[in-house]
Amino acid sequence: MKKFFVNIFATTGISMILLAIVALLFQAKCIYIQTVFQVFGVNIFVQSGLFFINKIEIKYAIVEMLLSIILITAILLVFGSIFHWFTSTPLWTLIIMGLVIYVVSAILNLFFMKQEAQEINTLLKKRN
Amino acid sequence: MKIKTEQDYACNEMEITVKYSKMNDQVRHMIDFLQSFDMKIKCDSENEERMVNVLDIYYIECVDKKTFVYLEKTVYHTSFRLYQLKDKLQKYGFVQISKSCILNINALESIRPLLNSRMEAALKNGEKVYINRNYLIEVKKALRQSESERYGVI
Repeated sequence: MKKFFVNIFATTGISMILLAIVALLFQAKCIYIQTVFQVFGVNIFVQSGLFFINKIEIKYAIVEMLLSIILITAILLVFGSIFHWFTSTPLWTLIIMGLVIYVVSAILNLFFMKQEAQEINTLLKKRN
Repeated sequence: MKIKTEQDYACNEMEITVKYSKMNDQVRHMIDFLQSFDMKIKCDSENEERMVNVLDIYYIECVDKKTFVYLEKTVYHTSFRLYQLKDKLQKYGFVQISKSCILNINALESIRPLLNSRMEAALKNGEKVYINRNYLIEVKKALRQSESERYGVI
């Protein structure tokens, strides 16, 4: 559970920074406050979706990766339409941001998994 | 703990007596461990039936609805289903690591994380199996439980 919430806040933070960089490139002057909450909400949906994908035991890693990317893209497209993001941000930009969120989630996951592996290896060393 | 051994030439079958003042987890673990020497599973290989000692099993895997028992260098087939073996062998250090595999944690050498949130477990015979992240808690629990029973620490 802790990992789930850390992931949401981390990816929201990264998304906002990315959004700020994209806005700067398009010479925007500000980001609306509601955008912050929209991004937070979308990240909750994305992380929840990834959480459920993780629960399914998919044999092939590449299939799991593709499923995750499709999920993120679908969520971005749906919420992009609802929040009218496409009027100010090109679709390809949103998709790239989505991929970045996925990569950040994967890196965070790997970090947590490394900690778990260290803990288990310590227990194994004590036994042997 | 005192260990006494006594040789008796008239003895047909080895007899072990465990003396304790109070039944606790350590005593139970000791009894389970001693019982595991005698615990065997009926397996078959090339039309030959064989009783395999659970201590020799590294892991058990279910593929295409068939259950295979992997020892250090050999593989046998058994008619038992995975869920039956999981229930039977849990107290001997066997833990489920994925939907289709249960592992003897005594055969586990080390683990390392993979990119797709699975762990690669290296066994003592050099073989590698994969631990699904959903079962990591069970593996840790089994290792901690075994450590606390071994050293009497909770």
